[in-house]
Amino acid sequence: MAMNFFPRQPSNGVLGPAESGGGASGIPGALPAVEDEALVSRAQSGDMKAYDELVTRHRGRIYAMIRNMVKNETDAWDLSQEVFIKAWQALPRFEAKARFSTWLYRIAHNAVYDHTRRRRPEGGGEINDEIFSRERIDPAAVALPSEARSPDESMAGDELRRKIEAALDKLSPEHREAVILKDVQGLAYKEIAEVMHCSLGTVMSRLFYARQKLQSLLKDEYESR
Amino acid sequence: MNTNPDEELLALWVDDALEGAEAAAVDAWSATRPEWLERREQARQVRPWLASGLAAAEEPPYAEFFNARITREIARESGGAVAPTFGGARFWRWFLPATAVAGMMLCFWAGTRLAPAPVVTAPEPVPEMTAPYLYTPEKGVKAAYFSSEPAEAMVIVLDGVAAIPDSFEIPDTASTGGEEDESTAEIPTPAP
Repeated sequence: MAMNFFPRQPSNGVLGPAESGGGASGIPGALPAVEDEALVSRAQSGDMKAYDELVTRHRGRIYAMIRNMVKNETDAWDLSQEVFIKAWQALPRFEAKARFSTWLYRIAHNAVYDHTRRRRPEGGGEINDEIFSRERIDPAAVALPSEARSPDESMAGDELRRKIEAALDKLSPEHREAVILKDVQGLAYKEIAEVMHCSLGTVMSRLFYARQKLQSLLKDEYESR
Repeated sequence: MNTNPDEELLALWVDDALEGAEAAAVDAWSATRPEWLERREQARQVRPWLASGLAAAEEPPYAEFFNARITREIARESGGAVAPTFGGARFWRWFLPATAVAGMMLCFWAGTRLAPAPVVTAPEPVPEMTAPYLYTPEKGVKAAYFSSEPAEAMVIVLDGVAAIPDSFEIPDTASTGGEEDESTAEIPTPAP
């Protein structure tokens, strides 16, 4: 009889919502899945207000994930819109087997890959990003994006972000997405496998290579701190 | 005998997400496997880096407009109605075209069965020959109109008009002596 030194402990809830029944991988600020379920149920009945609430709850994470993938605010904005419109269209087919957020990430994954395929190689079709620059935003606009950081913090944060984005840009899209979903978005391994349509082993492999490359690329920055 | 942790356990161990006996078991297993220790070290270094440099959630610019545009697009794609379909609408969607088709077939059948009624063509109404209305701008003048088709003549009699003096000569404007469309502007008007 085979003996397993590493028996599975049923109490472990980090692998994913399918086993844990909720909770997004210990990331603070993760939205409670129970409330999502109620809103999804109402939205499936045609309640547009409920769907609007779902959009409000998830738009920040979806937009951030897409922006980190495409590195263009305008494209990220448009793609995020596309995700929520497609999600509405597919909502009747959504089953509560997966968390709503994981399902959204999966739609976002498809949207990003479609976008990457559509984009012309020379980048000639890029939309001008200036339209979202803060200097051009009407100060009286009601929905002005908030900027709570001080100018120094903002500059340092932007600089750090630029370096990380430059490093991420050197990764393949698969490696980049795996590391973003895990280390930035905080998804569980199983969720990442669902989103990326691959096995758990593939997720681990992609994460390993992505982290290895990032460690090498960001080594100087890391040591100077 | 299985002496290796499965990949799920290893994934959790790399992310420092194991506790207790599970963590201790994988720690013991990895002690002789530097490549796995390296993986865990990479994760420990890179994870906080990315988390501090990139936001997990970031409100899209113009967040209110973001929602409003989605709502508008959904309404537009749904033909202005986002409410789910219900049984009544589905019934009418099928009932109305079916009724129209049945009506057309009934009319066609009736048209082939019923004999057409004899058509009596009424004569065209003959327009009444009305006398023309005669307008006399001068008070006391009466006008009468006579017409004779056999004679192909029309006569208008004005009664009460002052006699035209013999000295009055009709100017030659009526006869320019040239082409019909010749101008009469150059003909001198005779003094009264």
